[in-house]
Amino acid sequence: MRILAAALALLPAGLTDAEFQKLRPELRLKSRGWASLPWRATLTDARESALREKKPVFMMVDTGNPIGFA
Amino acid sequence: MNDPGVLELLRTRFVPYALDNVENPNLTPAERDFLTGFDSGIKACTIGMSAFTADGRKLASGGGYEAKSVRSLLEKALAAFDPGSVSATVPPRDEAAVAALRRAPEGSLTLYVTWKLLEEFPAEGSATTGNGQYDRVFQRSLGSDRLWVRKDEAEALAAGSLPESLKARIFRYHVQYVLSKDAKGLEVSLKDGRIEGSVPVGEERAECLGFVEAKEGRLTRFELLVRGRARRVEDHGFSACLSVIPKGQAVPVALFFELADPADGLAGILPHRARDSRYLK
Repeated sequence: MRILAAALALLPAGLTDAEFQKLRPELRLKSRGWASLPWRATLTDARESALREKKPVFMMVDTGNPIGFA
Repeated sequence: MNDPGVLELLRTRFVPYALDNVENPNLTPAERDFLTGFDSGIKACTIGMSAFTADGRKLASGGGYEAKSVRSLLEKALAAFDPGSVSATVPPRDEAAVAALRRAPEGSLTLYVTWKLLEEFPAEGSATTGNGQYDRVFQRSLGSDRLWVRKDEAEALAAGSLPESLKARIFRYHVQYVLSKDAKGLEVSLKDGRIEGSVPVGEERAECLGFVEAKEGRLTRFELLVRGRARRVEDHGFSACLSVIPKGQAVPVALFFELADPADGLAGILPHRARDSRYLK
């Protein structure tokens, strides 16, 4: 019995629903303002939108992950 | 990039476009020719910001990690921009060229992957973080990437099971990246819409909890949170907050996977690991 109790004590307590709900908003991509922008994934889309809306294109360039840094 | 003034300008006065210029360039030859035909910013460094017209004229470049420099770039671009002088015919993407690009497989879904430090600590910067200048910016940043879920995996999830192939890829490309090579597997199971389990990391375990929902045979929700400890990852800035963890230390971190809206532009940006030949295996 003592061995079982000791073994159980070594198990991780586990994430609770309350902890999940607390962390979730901080981790959701859409919690960041920049993620709510209407990013285009292709240059052609960006150019077509820019012509139609009479706006310049803003290009974010990165190696491996253009918006990996938020 | 989260400054309200910067966001307002980008949302209302610009068309934002994101390009991976080395690992997964989502460019057809014609699109690449367009960008290399003028000083667009594509030839820049590993990271850069620029603004240009739809017909290929540079307006401004620069930006950076601080709102002030980004705002300066945007204002300079707007001052130089004359919409009446822009004239172009944008050709549609060549289908054959698009077919040759790395793309999400038919019927697949995309998960957003994010990671964030849960505590503050004395950061250890590097050249990537401006040797101290941007340590706090990096420390508070939210790392992000994407993960493709194959059609068969999405169907399995909707039917109530968590495929081993998906667990393996979540682990290989993201969990191990954040929790270090000491992580030995994603030991989770799905039952009645709950994903529970843990990740053994050395003598510790990272905790996992998630939720899956489906409607009429289609996956409508996939969320998985992993809470553990991260080690330093120097990856030219891609690792975001992991860049400034002091060498030799492990700090509290959380990693999150969430089903993306396929209509969202961000979901169309290729996953960082998509170039791996076994990415979908």
